[in-house]
Amino acid sequence: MRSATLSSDRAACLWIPLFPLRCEEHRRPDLEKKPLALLSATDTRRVWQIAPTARRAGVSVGMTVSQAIGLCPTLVLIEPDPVYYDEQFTHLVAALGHVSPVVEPVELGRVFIGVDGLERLIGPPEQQLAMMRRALDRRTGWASIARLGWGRGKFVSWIAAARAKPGKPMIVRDHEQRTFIAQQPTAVLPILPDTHRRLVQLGLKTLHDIAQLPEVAMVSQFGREGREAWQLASGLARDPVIGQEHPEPIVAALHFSVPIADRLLLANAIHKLVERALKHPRRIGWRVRATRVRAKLEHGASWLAEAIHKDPTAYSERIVAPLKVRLEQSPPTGAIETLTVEFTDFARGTQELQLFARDAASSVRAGRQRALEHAATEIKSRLKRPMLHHIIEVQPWSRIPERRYALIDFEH
Amino acid sequence: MERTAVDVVIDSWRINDEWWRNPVSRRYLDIVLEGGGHVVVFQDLVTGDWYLQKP
Repeated sequence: MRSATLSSDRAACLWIPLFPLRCEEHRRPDLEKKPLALLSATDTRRVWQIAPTARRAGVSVGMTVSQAIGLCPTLVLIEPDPVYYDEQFTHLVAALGHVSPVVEPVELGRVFIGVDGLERLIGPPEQQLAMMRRALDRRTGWASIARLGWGRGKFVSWIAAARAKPGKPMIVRDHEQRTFIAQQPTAVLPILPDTHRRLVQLGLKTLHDIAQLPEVAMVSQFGREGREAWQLASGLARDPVIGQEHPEPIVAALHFSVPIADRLLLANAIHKLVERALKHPRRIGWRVRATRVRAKLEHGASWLAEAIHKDPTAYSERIVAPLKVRLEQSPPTGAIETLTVEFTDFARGTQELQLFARDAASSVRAGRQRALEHAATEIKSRLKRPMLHHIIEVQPWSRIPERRYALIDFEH
Repeated sequence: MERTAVDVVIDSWRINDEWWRNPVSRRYLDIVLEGGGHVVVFQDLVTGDWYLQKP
């Protein structure tokens, strides 16, 4: 797990505009050339994101569905799937984590990557960005549409990414930075719309215009926001990339040879998987903040339930309780073939005193786990298939003996 | 599988289950083999095939 103190002065920025819309095109390539619009998650009568083809037909963000269809009768409307977008973005961030340990996601589709030290490891900025593209190419499908920028600080790298074209990264070297910043319009500054309007009224159109002013003049007009704007415009702001704690998800999965539909059995299986995931050595010192349960159903459908725990916990009962509620409220629509429990977010475990005792036991278990993993790898390499399994109690009350337990590969 | 004579049938029972999906209908026999081996076998009453129940 990464430390929260990781930071980097030099930054690369990766930006995929309209990321949720791109996710839909990624999922259904047949939609790529069509005029698409995503509905708002909070108000499904309005459109939230629009493909360029729909924009050309006159559709704009915030329009009602009836207005949008009136302007573009072939418009394809899609209900948003935030879980899927989040999942795709997580994969993207994880792929970039293979290039640099300092990764700071800002919003869906926009990530800063700290590049301090990569010069000696990988080479000049061109090679660093090429490596990011390769990492995306190998692990996600986003390399061809990602825009990449490189510069000192997040502000410069973000503008560079916004000016770059997919496949053609923009690099702003130190000696070019002053000129590059000076020619940017004031619209690139992260300021309130009202402040921007006032800057325009004062005749300040570019960052060069702002940098020419004394700092105190900007501060006296706009306060703290004015100081920050002046420092950004003058290239004096220090805005390093801060690597966030980014623990990798812990996953436990179970495959049913005979698909199950019984809710009680399903709840029991979720409980068992949560207990197994809690025993994972990576969980040591961390409480679970978010849990996701995924199920692959018969006939190719899927089911997903998520729970954010207000009080992060390491107790299985507390983790399972909200998942059971989800299960009751919106149960799967068919029998389940594969069930996966995933801890996706964590909080440090210092607030639960009992956790220390648990963690002492966990570290002992971790040693045993490592030894077992080593043995499992050896067995697999000798016999060409995994022969070591966990036995999970799934339906202990069943009259059919083979239903009572399930075997799952040890590596899961 | 090697053929071995049955010494004694300790118990027998029948189960019918999962009639709503793929019906399971079995007749179980808990038996002691000649030589002392102890096994549980069942006959699938849908197909008529015999199986050794592994623990």
